[in-house]
Amino acid sequence: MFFSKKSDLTIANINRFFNMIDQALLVFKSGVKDYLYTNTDEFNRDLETMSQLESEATILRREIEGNLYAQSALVRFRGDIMRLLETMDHIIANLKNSLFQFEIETPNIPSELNTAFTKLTELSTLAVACAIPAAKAYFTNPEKIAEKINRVYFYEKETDKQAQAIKRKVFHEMDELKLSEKFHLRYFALHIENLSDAAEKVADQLSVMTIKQR
Amino acid sequence: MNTVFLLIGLGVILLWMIRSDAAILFAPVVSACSVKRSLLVGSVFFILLLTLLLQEAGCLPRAALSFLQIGSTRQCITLAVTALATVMLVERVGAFASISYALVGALVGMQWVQGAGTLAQGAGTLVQGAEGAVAQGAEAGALVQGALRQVVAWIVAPLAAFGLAALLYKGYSLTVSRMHVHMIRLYEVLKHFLYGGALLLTVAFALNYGSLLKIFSPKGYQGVIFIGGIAFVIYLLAARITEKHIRNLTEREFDVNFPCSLCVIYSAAFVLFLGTRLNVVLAAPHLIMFALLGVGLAQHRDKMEGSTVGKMVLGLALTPVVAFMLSYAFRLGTLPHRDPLNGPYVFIVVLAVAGTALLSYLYYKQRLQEQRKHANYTSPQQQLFENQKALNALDVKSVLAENQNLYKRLEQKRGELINVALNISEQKEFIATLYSKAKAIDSLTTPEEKEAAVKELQLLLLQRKSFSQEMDSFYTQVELLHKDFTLKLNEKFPLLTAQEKKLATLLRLGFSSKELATLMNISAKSAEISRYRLRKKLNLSREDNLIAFIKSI
Repeated sequence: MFFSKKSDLTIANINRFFNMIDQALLVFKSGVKDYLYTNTDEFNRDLETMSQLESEATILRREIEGNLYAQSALVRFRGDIMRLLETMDHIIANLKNSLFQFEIETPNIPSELNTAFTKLTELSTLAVACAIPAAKAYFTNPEKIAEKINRVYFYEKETDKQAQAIKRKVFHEMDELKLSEKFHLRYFALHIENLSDAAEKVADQLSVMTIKQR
Repeated sequence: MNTVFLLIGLGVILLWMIRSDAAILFAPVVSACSVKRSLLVGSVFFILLLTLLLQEAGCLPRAALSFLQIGSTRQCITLAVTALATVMLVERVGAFASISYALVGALVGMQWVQGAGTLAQGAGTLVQGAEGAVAQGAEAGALVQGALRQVVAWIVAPLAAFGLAALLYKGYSLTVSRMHVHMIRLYEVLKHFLYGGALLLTVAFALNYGSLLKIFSPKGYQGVIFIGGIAFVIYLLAARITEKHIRNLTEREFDVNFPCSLCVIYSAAFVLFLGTRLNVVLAAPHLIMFALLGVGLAQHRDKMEGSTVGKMVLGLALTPVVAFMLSYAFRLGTLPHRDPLNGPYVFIVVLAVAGTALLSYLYYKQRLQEQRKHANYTSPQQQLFENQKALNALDVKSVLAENQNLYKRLEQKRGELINVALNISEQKEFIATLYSKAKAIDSLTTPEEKEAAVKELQLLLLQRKSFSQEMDSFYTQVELLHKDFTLKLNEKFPLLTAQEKKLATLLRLGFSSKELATLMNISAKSAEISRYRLRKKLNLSREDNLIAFIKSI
């Protein structure tokens, strides 16, 4: 009597949406590794999966938004929730775009930078991965959000440091690279770094939403 | 006539009850959950009537208010007018005014006059028989007791709502918050509780305020139908005002979430029910506001600004007092056998005057503050507006000047085009003439005739060499371009000939003497002489520079 099917569907969809982001992160990590170690077939498979995940996530987000509009009980929060989902969806779009840029632009990454780029990807995806439980906590246990978003901020800072280290190495130590190649590498480091910035944005949004929910 | 006045009075009281009291009552519900405001306003009237009907049928209790009795229709009208004047006055001062406080205050004030009179009469009748005096004394005592109970209830009820709301919220955060239920599911459940709470609150509101409305209507079911008819008219006329008021309240004072709203409405409903049970009339807006403060206490947050709380408390204290004084003074003036300079009357009249003076002072202060705030707000805006206006005027002016300039250029181009066309046709005609004349030479036989024809041709060509027409059009163009210069030259030196004016114009354009000679179709020497004459006519000495002087005009 008290629960409507629509609520259950919305909850399930929100959880699926977050899980999709988690999955996209794994695909992205594996995609970057496959590119760095020239596993072309696997890389192409990653691209396909990522593309599929991105379109599914967008459809799912739209469905959730439609359901949220129909629910009168969430009138005060639906705007915030939708903005959160949109920011998260934007992260998936970022993941897909970055991976496709590897395929389109095929940057020349020297093998000595493979470890550094892998670490950067790990840190950046970790920042996003930590934002997901924080977003989930908003719906079930808002008091825990502050604790969870601290990890996001930590990994974001670490990502920044790693990206700077890569850029410094590329411009100061790798004289054999052309300036255009150096710019290209900096551009890719920046793209991966942007993911953690997006996670930070989610964390900021969540902390404001928690205050509003009180 | 009296019935019409009574109808209007009841209508306005109902309107105020809905616009002010009920709007505050439902603002937390609307803030937390999307409810159609028009539906809410309509349901308040519906539940009010239903409650009154059930009260008539004896199914629901009624706040008896036995100490307050109304005698005639005229007294009812007086009561309505006094209560309305009070709420309007108090709201003008800036405080929240509840119609229920105003009505009860006015009723007590009205009966106080009668009660005091009764006591005096009782003393007079004591000599004739002790029984009547005792009855009248008991009536006056009941009034004092009832009024005191009301005052105590008005102090205790908001505090009770405050405490209860704080407790409810604490309970909620200790139990439900710790269950970690998904927000969507939780709010889905809470929504039903909220609707239930809103219904309970409406019933509590109707039960408590209904007894006040019954004062103005006939007894029995007829009275309920009477109120229902007016309520329907008020709903049609004023639903929009109430909806707007609710929206304003939700945006400013009552921006609350679901659990907070739940605690507020349940605690207010409970206190209202309790008030009805104890036969006291309460003010729903104050209960809601104090409940909100209670939730704020439980959350360790300020739910309301200090100034709003101050206004609320001021309204709480001021409304019944002002209503009492106004009603007392009004009633005293209408009673024929009272000596206002005797007994307690003097004291109360002085109190009424002092109260009115205080209110006037507060109103004046409020106006002054509003004016200052308005001036502070508007003066930079006014300045901005004026600057913007000046900028716009400048823009318009520059656009107009630009347009004028463009128009001039257009005219000039048009003139040039006509000249070119005319020139082409004139050239064509001239060449045709030349051709026919040259052709005619062939037909001439004698050498003399031929020589004469050739000379004629040469003369024609020489005349053509002077470019008189082209020069005329050139001067026209120059005059158009230097219109101001030509005008000023004419003004300052009216004796200059047309040739000298042309010369001055050409000099202004910076042509040399040689160029001048060619353009004016004269020799270089003549050009020098023309310059010398012009210098003389312009009254220039040897040291003065002719071109500089012309350019300075």
